[in-house]
Amino acid sequence: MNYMDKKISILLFFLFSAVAVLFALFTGAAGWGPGSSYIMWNIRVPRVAAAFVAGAGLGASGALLQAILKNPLAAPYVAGTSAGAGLGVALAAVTGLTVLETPAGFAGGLIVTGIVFKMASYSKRKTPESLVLAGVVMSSLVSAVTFMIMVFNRDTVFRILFFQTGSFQFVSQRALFFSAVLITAGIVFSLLYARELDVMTQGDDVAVSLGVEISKTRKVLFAVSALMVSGSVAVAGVVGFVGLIVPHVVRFILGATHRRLILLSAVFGGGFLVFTDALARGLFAPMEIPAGIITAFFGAPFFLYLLIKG
Amino acid sequence: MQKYLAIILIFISACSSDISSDSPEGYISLSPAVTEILFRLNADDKLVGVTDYCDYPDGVSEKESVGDMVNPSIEMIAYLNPETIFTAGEPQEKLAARLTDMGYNVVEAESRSIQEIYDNILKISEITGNPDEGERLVSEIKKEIAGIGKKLKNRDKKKVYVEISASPVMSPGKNSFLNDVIKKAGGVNVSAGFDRSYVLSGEEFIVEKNPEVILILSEAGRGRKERMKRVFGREVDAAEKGDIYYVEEKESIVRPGPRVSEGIRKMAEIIHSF
Repeated sequence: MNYMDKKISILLFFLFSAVAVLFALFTGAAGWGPGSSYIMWNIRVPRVAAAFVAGAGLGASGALLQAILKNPLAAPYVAGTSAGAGLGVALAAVTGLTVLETPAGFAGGLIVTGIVFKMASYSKRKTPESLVLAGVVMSSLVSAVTFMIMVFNRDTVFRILFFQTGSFQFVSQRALFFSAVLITAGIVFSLLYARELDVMTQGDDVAVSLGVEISKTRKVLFAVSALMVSGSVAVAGVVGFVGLIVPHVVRFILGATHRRLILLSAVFGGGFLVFTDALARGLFAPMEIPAGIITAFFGAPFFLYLLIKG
Repeated sequence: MQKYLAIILIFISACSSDISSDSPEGYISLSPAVTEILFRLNADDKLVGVTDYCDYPDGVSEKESVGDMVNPSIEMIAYLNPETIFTAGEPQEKLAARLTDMGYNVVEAESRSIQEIYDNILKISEITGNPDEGERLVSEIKKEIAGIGKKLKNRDKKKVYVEISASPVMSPGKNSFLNDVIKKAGGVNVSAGFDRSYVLSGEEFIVEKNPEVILILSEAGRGRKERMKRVFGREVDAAEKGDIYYVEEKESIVRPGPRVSEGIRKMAEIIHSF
């Protein structure tokens, strides 16, 4: 791909997201067009913003994790963040502290991710694989605890399930603002490490010889991605697929230069989630189907197409 | 770039001329039971929105739907701009909080017992402005239930197991509306020893309790009935005597609304086979 093509592709990613946002603002159960300014400003705009923030966080952290874990299957939830957030929400729900649901989910995600990182660091082979394995195992364990809580507290099942399927309907303005700031900061911060990531893809030996502190970089970026994932979970619950496929799509089209990859994964991730959420609430309005279904429905064929063509 | 942004903003603000500055009016019911109550109180002309699950009475199909019960379209609710929104229970707690935040008058009207159905009918009739109608409806239901009680006076109470879910196997506990219905229908709920609204019972529990009648209200339906017959054989009275029933038209039995007396009658007919 030559320089001009790349410029155009980058522009197309931005354009897609801008169109997605406009489309979403003009889609809804109350009919095409914005209906009334009340619905526009109090319902659609916050919802579109929530979807964009969550998608951007997932896209960017997916790009980060795939790079530092050197694993194409690495997704934002592989490190146990979503399982931990789920447990946090479940605990808040059964103890009656429902106002603390969002902070509890946020904290739960971070704590479990921290434990995963600590466990992996105890392993003799300090490879990215041990981090992935620790994440998978911790996720199962933590999810089992969550399910146990659900079985014994059927009355609160709905609160927990909601969270696990992801929904943008109930986001509070405070959570949205908090996550937006957090995720923006995370994206900017990880851009500072873009060069190190580029070098690291050449192999650890090369990176070391070029003066990159691999384990420190990995640790810092792992923490940054955990913060971004927790932020997106706080506004949207657990939304699958976006964090896995968005970075791949960007990489297929633009290559693995991390400055571009991270930034455009955020832009495209945000736009993609806004688009799928608009379809999720518009297709069968007023019935809302979980955005995750649409995400996979449109994302999977598109991804397969790229896989075959690329 | 700024020029385009300005154009987009102007476009958006032009489209969003305020059309819903009218004052809020009417009710939205997010509960099938409340919907039935509103119809029975003749307040349905002010009912502007219901859920996809509100299926009774006939007139309900003409009402605008706002989607499903726990995750309806909040946008649609705002569009319909109601004065009062009725919710029912824990699953809608989060939704209720959001709607309250938006400035709506949200009224919680879940009924977990027959008494609470009466309370909610009276509460709703206050809101709709015809409390007399509410009083009348409550005493009518009470009379019907008392009538069923009279019919059952000389019959022995039977041990009843009601299955509300097959996977996992669940039955109504002591703190449930169905426990009330079973009692009024001349039965003894074998799961009433548990001080909660549902019991994770399991098939061994059923064998141990040895109910005389089994009512299947779960979605598992007919296949479940066949399995119970086969598995329980002679170990459970209900299986031996063929007193396992799958209730197809179960809405009046499971819905804590004004058709509760009809539900009790239906259950009594099954339990005492008349």
